[in-house]
Amino acid sequence: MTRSFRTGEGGRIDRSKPIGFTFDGKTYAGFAGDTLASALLANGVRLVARSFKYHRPRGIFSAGAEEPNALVRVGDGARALPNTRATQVELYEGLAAYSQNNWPSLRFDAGAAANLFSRLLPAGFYYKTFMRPKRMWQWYERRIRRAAGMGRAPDAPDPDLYDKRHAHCDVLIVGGGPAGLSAALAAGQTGARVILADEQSEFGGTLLGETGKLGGASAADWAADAVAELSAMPEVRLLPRATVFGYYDHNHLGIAERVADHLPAPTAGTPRQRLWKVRAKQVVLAAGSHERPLVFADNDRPGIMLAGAARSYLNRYGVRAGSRVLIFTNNDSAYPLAVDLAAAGGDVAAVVDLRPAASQHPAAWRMDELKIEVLRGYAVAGTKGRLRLKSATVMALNADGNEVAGGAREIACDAIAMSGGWSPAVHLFSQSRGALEYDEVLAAFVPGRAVQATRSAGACNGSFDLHRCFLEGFDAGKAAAADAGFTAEDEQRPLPAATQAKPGPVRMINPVPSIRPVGQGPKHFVDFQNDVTAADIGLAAREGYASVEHTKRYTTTGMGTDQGKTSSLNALGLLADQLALAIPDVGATTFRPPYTPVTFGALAGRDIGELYAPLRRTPMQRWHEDAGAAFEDVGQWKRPFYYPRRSETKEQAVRREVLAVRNSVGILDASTLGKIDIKGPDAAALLDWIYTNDWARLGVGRCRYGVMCREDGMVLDDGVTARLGEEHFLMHTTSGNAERVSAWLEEWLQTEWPAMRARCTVVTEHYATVAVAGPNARRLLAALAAGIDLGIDMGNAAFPHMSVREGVVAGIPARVFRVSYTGELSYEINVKARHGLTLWRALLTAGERFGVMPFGTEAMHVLRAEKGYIMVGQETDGTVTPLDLGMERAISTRKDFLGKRSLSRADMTKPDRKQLVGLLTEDPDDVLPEGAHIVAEQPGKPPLQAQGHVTSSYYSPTLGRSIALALLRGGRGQLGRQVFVPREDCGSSAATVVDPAFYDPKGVRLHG
Amino acid sequence: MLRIPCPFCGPRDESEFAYGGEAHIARPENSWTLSDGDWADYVFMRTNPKGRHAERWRHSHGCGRWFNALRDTATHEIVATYRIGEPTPTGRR
Amino acid sequence: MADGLPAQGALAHRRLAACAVEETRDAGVRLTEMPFRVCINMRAQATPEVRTILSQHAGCGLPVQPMESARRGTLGALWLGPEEWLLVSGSDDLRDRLVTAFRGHFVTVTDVSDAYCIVRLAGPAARDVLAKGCGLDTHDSVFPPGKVARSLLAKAEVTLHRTAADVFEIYVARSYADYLWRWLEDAGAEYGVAVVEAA
Repeated sequence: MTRSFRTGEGGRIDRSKPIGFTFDGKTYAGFAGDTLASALLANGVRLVARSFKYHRPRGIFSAGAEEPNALVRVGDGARALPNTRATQVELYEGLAAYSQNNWPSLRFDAGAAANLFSRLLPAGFYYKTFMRPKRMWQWYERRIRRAAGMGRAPDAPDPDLYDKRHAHCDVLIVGGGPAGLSAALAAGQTGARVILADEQSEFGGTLLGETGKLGGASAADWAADAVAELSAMPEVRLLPRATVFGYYDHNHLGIAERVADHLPAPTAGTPRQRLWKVRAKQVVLAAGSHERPLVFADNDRPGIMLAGAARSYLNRYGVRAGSRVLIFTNNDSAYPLAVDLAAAGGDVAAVVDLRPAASQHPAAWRMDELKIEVLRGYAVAGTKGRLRLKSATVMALNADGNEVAGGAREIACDAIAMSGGWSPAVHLFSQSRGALEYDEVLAAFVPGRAVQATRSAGACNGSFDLHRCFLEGFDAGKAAAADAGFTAEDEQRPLPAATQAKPGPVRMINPVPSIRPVGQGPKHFVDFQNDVTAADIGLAAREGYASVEHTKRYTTTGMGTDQGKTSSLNALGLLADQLALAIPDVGATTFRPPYTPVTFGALAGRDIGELYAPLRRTPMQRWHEDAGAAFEDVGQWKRPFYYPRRSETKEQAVRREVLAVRNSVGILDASTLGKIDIKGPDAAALLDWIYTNDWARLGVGRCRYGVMCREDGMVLDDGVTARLGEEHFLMHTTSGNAERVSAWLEEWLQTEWPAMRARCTVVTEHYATVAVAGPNARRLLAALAAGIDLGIDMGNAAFPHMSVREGVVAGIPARVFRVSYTGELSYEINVKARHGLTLWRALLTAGERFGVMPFGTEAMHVLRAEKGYIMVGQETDGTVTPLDLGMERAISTRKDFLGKRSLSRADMTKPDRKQLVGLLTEDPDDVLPEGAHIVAEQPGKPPLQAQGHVTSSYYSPTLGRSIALALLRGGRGQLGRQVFVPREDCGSSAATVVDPAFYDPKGVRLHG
Repeated sequence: MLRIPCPFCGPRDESEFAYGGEAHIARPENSWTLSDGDWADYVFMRTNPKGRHAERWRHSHGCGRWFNALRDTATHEIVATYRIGEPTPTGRR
Repeated sequence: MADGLPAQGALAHRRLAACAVEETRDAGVRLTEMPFRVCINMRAQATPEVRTILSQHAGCGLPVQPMESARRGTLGALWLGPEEWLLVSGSDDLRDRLVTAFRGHFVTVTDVSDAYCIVRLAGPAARDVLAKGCGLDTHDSVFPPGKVARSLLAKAEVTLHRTAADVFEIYVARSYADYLWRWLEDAGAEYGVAVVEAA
């Protein structure tokens, strides 16, 4: 078993650099330049995976992104990456890879019992079998998912760095094969900004596995020269190991670059993968094509692979697919493999060609000379070998190709290289919403009309001959650059003269007949990754799944990590036959991103941990942190919630802070309050439109509380606005709402009232704001203020409630508002943000003799709720009008304002609208949960008619009992009535409906 | 992500913009004489077409200006953008 | 500070002076907080009269083309939007001078100095760092030195002013400064970051 399949020479591997790696714990050796797949094949490892549903032994099937079988886990622990295609994993020293979906081992997999009962497991089996009883589905689902599965995600955090970046270019070229390189050369020489991305480690695509010469040089050398030329162009960016996985609107494309996946660990500071978000003026798709398998009996044994892959392994990696290879084809493209194998000293068992006529391909002409037997009009009707292929049964086809006839010939072979034709990789073109057209000659979909600024060139455009790939690529690159505004002054066409025959016809026989009818005995696999057979497609069609999208979901064909790259056309052909339709009439399923799986790491990038979201800081934030505050999220701000002392609970701290404000003085960091500076001759007129109350006659130096509505009459925001000058106002909005309100003002000023002479500037962050609240607030301020008459001697008239003064506080130029959100005598001091911390500290020092306490947002909420003051977003939710909140007095009858007409709509004036009320629970210690529903009667059996809900609920230290605000249907007519709040745990709470102003309803204290 | 040509700043990513609903809906001057139904039409009713749609956008993380765009709601093609007060372009290109 | 009062910049808590270096040869990017610049938001119709008054009293022209800036001596004028500019200066009395100069005109000037934190991002990798979080095309053909644009950088709104080939001044709202600074240090780590004190 340990014999090597490595050729004596050749390939693009570096035989001077051996590399050790392990697969399922066993140590092997490969060379630099190998993929995991090529190294496993070189070591004679044929069995690499168990299939998804039947746990059948599977081997390496392809040599690229389309691989359905060889999905492995790479790496250990937190670095483990499941479901990785072995065909795309570059070998590095110490690489550890593991097979998936088997137990206890790959060779002896208990799950393979499923294969014995496979007759009982057709398409849709789960849906039909596990339907009853309904409640059991979740139990079934867990077990089904465990039995049929893909790899497991690691459960520890990924230690590696992932990054993202934007990029702009004139021309993005997808794929660095002959067409892509030509396109890049053409676009690059115009001076356009070009990005060339290829999913492989080396540019060149199929040229790297080509044996023919191009203008005297090897194909790979031409590619290397092209890359060297491109590297010298300053505006060309080459991205190897970069898969363009998504084509989104307006030429926005996603690229997953595997920066360090080919290294044992990324070098320090560099990411393992990087996600590129590219905006391209023009796109050239040169993504190549995928070979299709032939759907014949038992076509999935380890050792059966695509012919193009076998050729790639031979020529690029120096690995023979087997010691005796049978070639099975329906087209010309497999013949060069026979020539190359013979040249490398390999043993070609035979070429079995489904077509009765002789191939006209030059390689086919050499079969006699090379003494390779060609069986024309023959088919592989079955295969043998359990964990690896041993032989193929070859039989003649009848003229129609729908039955095998004559004697069966058993041909010993350990590999079958099959070719069912080629499908252009139209995935990205389809993602860009380009239309696909069916090409009868190629038996494949090709790009049709493009919707975005995109072109297809080469094999992905259905042009498989090398000469046309070069030409199409060059022309596409040139035209794309021209459309982006760039032309070459002195055009060079460094294209080699490639002579390669156009491939002959493809004979679609799908499925390939065998001795027994399809569905009986051996399986004809269509979708290898999802274990979907020709019989499953037939069953789906018989059961009425006529739409290709439905058939895909019912049978799961085309799903999984490979998204049907090799299977979709065969599945479509089978469905079309069953429905007696032509393939284009059945239509293809829509391709969606990503082209190949993208790691969550790359999608998240650095938007994790501390950088996940911005954390907005006030000028006093550091003080709050040092004081050990507990924080509350308010938008992106972290505001001090409360300041616990040593062993205090939250309740104790809040109680202490509330009572300090009620009995002496407290200070609050209110810097987060939104502030909008409004200036202009029409500033008052603007406010009259925005707010529900009157502003024209507000005196300079005075403040007013205002509520603003949307046009539907619902409350948008509230706050106090001060008149600083005849044509100058400062509006306050709720925390985190300044941008929204500013956008609202701009919307009206710019779109509806362009003649209004008023301008608004958000100044939230220019100021630090400290609220000083409590009966000792005036005394505290007096100790620090200069140039402001606080009315210590003269009483309130000097600086009454709802007015503003400018002066100096703690030596700092300040604007002082006498406003209150706590119901106490209160000031809000604005200073420039740079002085906020100084002011805060000065207030604490000067307030020591009053026992001043910093208080957090929770105490503030309790204080305002005790007063029955609403909080926008808590008492309002976009369905609440000012009338519902009992603010009739704030609604002007003198003028129109935004939302006013809505307030008189019949629905807005109904007496049973939900209205703001207070609730007092029967048990004073019973604090209702916020959001709890309110019912009218002692709750019995559901359903209950909800009459409203609790919007704010606290224990009030001032009143020594619980209080709640609520929106209650017809609430204001129910004062004094008893209502009930059903509780999850303990029946219900009884409460009395009261006026929402629980404390000092006449407002004596704030005038104090 | 769409690429939206701001009439002032040129093409920018959609993330810099805020959507503002259907364009060219003027606020009725005579709101008091309108019936409830007519007022509700102004506040709530929008055409929501499949195809070309004149709509408002604001370059909120850019120059801050509101402008109008003619966008195909089925394909996301932005046929034209134009300043407030300018007539709707015919959209022929 | 002109008024002699103790003042804290938006990044004072990060104590940047302690991690500042003199030698920056190995750094792909250099980061500097530029504290306490005078920033004035000016809104006006850019009539010839308004432009003349500004150039007489502030010594600087008013860029009327989108995304342009003007500079004369220590005063810079950045286009923020139609009829909106940010005037940046080192002199504390700029606002008062402008208020006086524009008396009788519908020109609004608003002091927003403390609303911003200004971070200077310089070095050969500056554009690469910006590209990690900003969808703006900063290629020389589109965004040469002198250009200015409001956009998003990571998850913060910023005003980007390219002042030289490899120098960008980033204006960010003060409360986002800490987040953006951490983001810049993280994004720059790949290329090497040096913290440099303002001259």
